[in-house]
Amino acid sequence: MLKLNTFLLTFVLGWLPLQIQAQDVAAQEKVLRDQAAEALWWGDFPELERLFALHRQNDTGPLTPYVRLRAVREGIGSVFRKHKDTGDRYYEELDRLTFEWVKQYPTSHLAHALHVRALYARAWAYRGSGYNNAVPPKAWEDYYKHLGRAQDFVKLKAAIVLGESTGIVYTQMVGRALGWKSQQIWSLGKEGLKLNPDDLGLYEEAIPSMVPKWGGNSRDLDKFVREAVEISGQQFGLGMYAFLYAQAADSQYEHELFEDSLADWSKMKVGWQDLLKYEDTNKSRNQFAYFACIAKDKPTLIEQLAKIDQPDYKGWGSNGARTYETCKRWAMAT
Amino acid sequence: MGSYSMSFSGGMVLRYVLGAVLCSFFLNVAVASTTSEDEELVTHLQAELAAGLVLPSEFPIDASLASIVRNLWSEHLARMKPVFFAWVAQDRADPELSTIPLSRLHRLRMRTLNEYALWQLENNDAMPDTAWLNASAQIRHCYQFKSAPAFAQRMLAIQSLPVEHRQAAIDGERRLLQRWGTVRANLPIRPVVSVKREVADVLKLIMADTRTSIPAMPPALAMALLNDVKSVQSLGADASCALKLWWLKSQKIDSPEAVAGAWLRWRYASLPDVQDWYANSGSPKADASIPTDYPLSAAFFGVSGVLTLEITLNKNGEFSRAVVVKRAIHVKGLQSSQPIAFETLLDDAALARAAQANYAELGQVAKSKGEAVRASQSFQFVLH
Repeated sequence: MLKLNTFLLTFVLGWLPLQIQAQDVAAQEKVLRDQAAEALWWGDFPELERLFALHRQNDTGPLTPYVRLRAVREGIGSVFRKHKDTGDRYYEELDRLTFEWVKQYPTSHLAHALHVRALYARAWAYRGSGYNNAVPPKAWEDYYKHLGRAQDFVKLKAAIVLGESTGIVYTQMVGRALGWKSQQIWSLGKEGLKLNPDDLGLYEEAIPSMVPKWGGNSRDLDKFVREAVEISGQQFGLGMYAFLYAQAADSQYEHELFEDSLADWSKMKVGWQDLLKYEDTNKSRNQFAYFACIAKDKPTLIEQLAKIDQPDYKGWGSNGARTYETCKRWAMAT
Repeated sequence: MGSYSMSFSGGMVLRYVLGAVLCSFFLNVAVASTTSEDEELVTHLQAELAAGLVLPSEFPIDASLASIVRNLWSEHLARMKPVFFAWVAQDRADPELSTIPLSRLHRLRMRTLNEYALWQLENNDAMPDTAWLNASAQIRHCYQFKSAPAFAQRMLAIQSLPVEHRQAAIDGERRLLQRWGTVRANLPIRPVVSVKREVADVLKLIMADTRTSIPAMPPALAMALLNDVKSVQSLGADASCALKLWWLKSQKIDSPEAVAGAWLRWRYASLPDVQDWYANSGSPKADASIPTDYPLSAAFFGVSGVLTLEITLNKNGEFSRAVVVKRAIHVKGLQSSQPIAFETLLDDAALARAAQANYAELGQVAKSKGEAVRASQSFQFVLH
């Protein structure tokens, strides 16, 4: 997921002026992410509201609205993702705290969204990240109990929770955990896009339920990607095609993306070129080169390898260092 | 180091004048006997005080307030120089101090620290308690400015006050600073149950799943206290500050008396923690002359005294609870200052003695009555 988030950053930056240095943007994004994490960690809701509101402003430096939104959500997420050696008392307090905020700030979208996120986190703390057969029956009960509470809360407070894209993203997460069908999750995502077309998290959350591993199939995935390109075409061109299939590779297909899915390299290549036209970074060249390699497009691979300052293994799939070496060897072979 | 507050009672002016006269007297004595060592000590104390009065460059104090504050500190530093000389002279003249292993500089630092504590404890009465409480009790001050000096946090609270009240608050601070080195009368009485003690009791309710209207903790506290089951004493400065806020949220503050009570407990809970100082000094061990149940930190700072505890036995005549209700504390080298910063160093040892004491007679009373009984008992701690 990390590599895709990084990719997403690159993606969004693609539409920014060239003079903006990616490193500066990454550093600023980290600052915002850390600020959000710290504010939630100490229970500073007014500060969280301030940080959350930044994505609605147009004049807060080089970070695009979506990157600001994502940074705040990632910071928030880091406080909720503390499963290891963390008992339910921690999650119970988050559950209580966010509900207190709901009562204290009855019209705040963020307060309501955070409560949904807290219930989702509490459920997953019982579930853990292991395989299904490693989860005790009682843990499944608690898992579904808190997800059910989250779903009920969304129904009860739908006007507020679903009134902004972040609440929708969190509801998509709950829905995915409850086994909603992929189309249901994507329909919700499309509602979110009407509210905030910049929120790429709405696409991102739809991807996992589309891949075969989680009950989807390649045909529906491709249909989804094409629809997403259509929705976002004016804004992102074929960049969305490259982005979503890169994410699908991350979720399941990896090196078999072009064998096992309906991904079309010729379109993906154009998508990458769109990105590089606006921002030519070492990171995106690495990613472009990786997909060229698994698409067996040697000329493109050679071209991109020549432009890479240094290998960035995070852009080369789950076994990045070895994949990079293998692809490079293939490129150099006559 | 902590921050905040004051109460300007009717006798304040008289006390201040007496204090000034006293300072002036010691100043003359000091000037007459100034040695190069004295100069060195005073220079050191001045430098430490000045270092503690620097506003961090990134600190969000607006320019006009920062300027006023700098003037305030300049005045304070100038005023404290003769006071420091007086302290050195007093220390040099006190035969009792030859038995303390601490250096003279260390003893003088203790006095400075105690002045910080008194500054924090007394009430700046330029504003209603509610305004101070609201201005001080902000979670952002706990975590965003956790390494800022106490006085800087104090200024942040002043900045949070309505603009039209700032000057009065600054004047109040000036009056408080002018009292450094003087004897304060009518200090507010320390509440019997400290904030940390009350929080520890509340934590027991949470852990026993018997909480009722207790507010939720922020994640930082939930992780430390409920998940990692750390003690409230072990929390860092930022978490201790957040703990006070959490405690404050749990208080029913619905009358001026309740506000005053909460504000007083807040101030006591914000005093500098001398245990940290002891720990940072490498937690030195006591020599053989120190009784085995004597707290090492108390011995380190030369603290002795008598503590009066209220003991509660249950209806079966068994010990159930003790609280410290009175302290008569003496700290070598602190001269006439009330040892606010050091006065709880014997509490835990006294509570431990109380828990182990024999209450045969009182126990019989409880059993014959079939109800809990309370009694007062004193415990003495003597340093030779």
